[in-house]
Amino acid sequence: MSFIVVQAITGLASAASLFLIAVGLSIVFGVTRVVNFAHGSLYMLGAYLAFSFTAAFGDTFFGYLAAILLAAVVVGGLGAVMETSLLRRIYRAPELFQLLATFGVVLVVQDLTRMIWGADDLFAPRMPGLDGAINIFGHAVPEYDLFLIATAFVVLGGLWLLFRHTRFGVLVRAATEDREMVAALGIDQRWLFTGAFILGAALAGLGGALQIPRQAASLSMDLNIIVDAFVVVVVGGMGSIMGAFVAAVLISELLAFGVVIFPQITLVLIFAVMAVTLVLKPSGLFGRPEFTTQEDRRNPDPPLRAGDGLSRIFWWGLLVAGVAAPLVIGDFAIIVLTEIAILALFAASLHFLLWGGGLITFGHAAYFGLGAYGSGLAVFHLSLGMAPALLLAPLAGAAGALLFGWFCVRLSGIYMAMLTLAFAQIAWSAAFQWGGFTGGDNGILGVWPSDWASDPFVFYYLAFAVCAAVIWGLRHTVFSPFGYTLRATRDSALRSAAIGVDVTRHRWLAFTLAGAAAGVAGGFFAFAKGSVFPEVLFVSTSVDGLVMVLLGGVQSLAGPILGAIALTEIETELTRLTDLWQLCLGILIILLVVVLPHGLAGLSAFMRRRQP
Amino acid sequence: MNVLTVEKLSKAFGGVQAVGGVSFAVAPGERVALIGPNGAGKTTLFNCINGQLRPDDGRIEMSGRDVTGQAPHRIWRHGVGRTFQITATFASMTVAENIQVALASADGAAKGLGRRLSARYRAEAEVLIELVGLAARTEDPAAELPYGDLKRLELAVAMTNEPSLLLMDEPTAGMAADARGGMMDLVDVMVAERGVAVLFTEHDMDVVFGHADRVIVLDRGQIIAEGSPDEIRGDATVRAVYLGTFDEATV
Ligand SMILES: Nc1ncnc2c1ncn2[C@@H]1O[C@H](COP(=O)(O)OP(=O)(O)O)[C@@H](O)[C@H]1O
Ligand SMILES: [Mg+2]
Repeated sequence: MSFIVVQAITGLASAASLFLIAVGLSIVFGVTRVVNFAHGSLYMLGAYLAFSFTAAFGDTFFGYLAAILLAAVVVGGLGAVMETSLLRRIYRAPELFQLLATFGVVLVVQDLTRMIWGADDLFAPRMPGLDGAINIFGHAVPEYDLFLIATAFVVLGGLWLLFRHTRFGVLVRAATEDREMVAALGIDQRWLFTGAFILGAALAGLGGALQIPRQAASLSMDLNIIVDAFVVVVVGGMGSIMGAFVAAVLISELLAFGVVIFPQITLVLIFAVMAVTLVLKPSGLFGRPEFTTQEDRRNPDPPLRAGDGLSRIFWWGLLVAGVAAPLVIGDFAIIVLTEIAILALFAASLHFLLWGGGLITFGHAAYFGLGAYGSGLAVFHLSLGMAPALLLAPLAGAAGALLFGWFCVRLSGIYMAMLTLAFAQIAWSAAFQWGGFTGGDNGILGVWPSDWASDPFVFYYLAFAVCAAVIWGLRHTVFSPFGYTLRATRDSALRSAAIGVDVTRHRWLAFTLAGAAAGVAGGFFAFAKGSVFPEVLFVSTSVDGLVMVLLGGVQSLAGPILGAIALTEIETELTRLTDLWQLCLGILIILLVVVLPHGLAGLSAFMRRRQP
Repeated sequence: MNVLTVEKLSKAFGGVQAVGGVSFAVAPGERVALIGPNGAGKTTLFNCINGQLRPDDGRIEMSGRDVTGQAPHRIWRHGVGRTFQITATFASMTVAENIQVALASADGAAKGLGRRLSARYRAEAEVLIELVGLAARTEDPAAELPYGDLKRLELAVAMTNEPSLLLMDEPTAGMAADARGGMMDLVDVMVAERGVAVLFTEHDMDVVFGHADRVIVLDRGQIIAEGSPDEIRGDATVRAVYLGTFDEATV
């Protein structure tokens, strides 16, 4: 009994921070309809700033408290800068672009934080006056945990007062419930948006600052917390404060008890909670279904034109170049070229979903990574040779897509993007947690090609042949009845259902097909590198794929291939020149989205546009 | 046997009884107009029949089979073609492709990975395109069609599964008054040549009285009158509900 109480308190203390970050994300989304990927970066900045401030004047209780609050205020100010300089330019952009642009900010903040504070974890002292523990039923409970819980309730109460009794709060609520109405009232939406963003940012900063006595400030805080926050808002319902609160408590308690009872399957628990919620109530516990986006009837994406002269020359040229290139290039270049062939297939499989089906996925790394692990584990545990291990790769990718896809295709737009990401991150954490099976952090080593393919040139030709064949297959699928029907569900789900298409099932099949294709790429990737690490499943892999597709131009079947060539080249060159590669990639992404929206007309055309 | 039989159908939203125990039937080849003031429950009734909404109570039969509560894509398999109040077509496809996709689905080939779609069902598509008068537009993207042509395209798409029943929610909404007759003439051609029955909602009384064999009047979720256009024209209750808008419309 006493143990249960103590464990529940631990859970509530974790819920406190999760609530602060999720509620900020939710408020910002409610008002601006932007899912801010960089919300986790604001949280991380809160922690780092609090670390510096407490070091300067945190040696008394009130000094420490002031340091935490000042960190929140500064992060709120940074939020104002971010809103006015970036967010404002992308409010009308398609959802995928908004996610990508804010992910660009994540990368930039990562490198800047590393520059300022260094790469090592930073441990702050405990909070003076709250550094002890009190005895509850014979168990020691940190005083600070109780302080955290109290703080969360204070914030919840404060938000409640703000939203009931101030003009700003009432407007925020009105905008969340009915944006047309606010526009009709003639309110200057600019300050409302900026205000909501500052509030959300400050809450994130507070959440991060409050963490430092419990947890070291580290560079992985941002993405870890944002994925948890996505899970919370998906479960609780976008735009709902109560939803954020209840879901944060639910998930934290589940983890607090899950860790004790089934330490091996805490991930499965989170997965199960998400799955059950989404099946029973797709808009989340407290969410409202109106948030689902509407069909775009002004869709200027031109009809498909197959095999005209120019595109034929392009594809044959590509084939000839791929076959002939090894004759003129060196040993290092052949490795890069192999990687390009593999990544081109990865990008093409993502493009198939994005463009072919209008399915926004932010977690395509899951299927690439499952392919890589499928092959890697087959070699490691079953001592299979290269050929059978490679055959397992598409099966692993397809199996993952079949399972995750079943849930994902039931959602649309931003919800789908968040859910795909959450599933991919669950797969990524699983690769860590089940270290006994997957090698965890240390990865799987010794995944080398069979003798007959061990020569880099032979392996290149093998990878090139298979990847080119699968890309050709995907291209063919786009023109087949299956592909056209998928395109039909993208253009109008309503009409598709009215001509007898089971839209959900069709999307699910497409998801699985793309998962299998990504799995093939993942399998080859494992053998090309000779190893598999959890990074293949990480969100940055998904984002690389998206950047390739955007770079190459989404509206063309050749886009993902050109994008894979371009990104691999840029990356190879830049990593040679600077170690601020993430910063450069982040800026590249932001520029792509903000400055060159017309270069990306094909995507903006078919992705649903939102109202101001 | 009736192509459509609706028995005691009910649907409420919260406290609002949008449809309250409606029963009627549509015979093969019959043209039935469903009219009533705004909020009478016409769209709700339609959405229950075509599977978009699940009725609270009652029963829907199509050609003798119980289809109550089935999803829209299953309803289509029972031989129902639909057009929408605001047209729903595939904007990134040509006129021909719009119809070819529907024909592939009718043929059970929507999941086919074989031969490219543009080379299949071409002749059948052209027959339908010709029938709705869009031959000159065959290769144009649907996104570029004027609204009236989109309505025609939608009708052609709705005919791809050789339906026994067409459900048309306000088939002439958004069209200029002089184009409405042409659209309904086209529907009459479908009825005459292909033997399809039509259930449609409509606000334009000229269209109703000129193109319906039978009229059902709905008010506050209940059927208040049912009969031939002439009977409905003379019905006092209907006149009361419509408060004289009738006379304006028919002048
Ligand atoms: N999704 C809904 N939620 C709540 N009430 C609805 C909904 N759809 C229709 N209603 C209500 O049901 C009644 C009938 O509406 P509707 O079927 O659209 O009428 P009609 O098509 O005849 O104008 C109206 O009172 C309307 O407000
Ligand atoms: Mg209506």
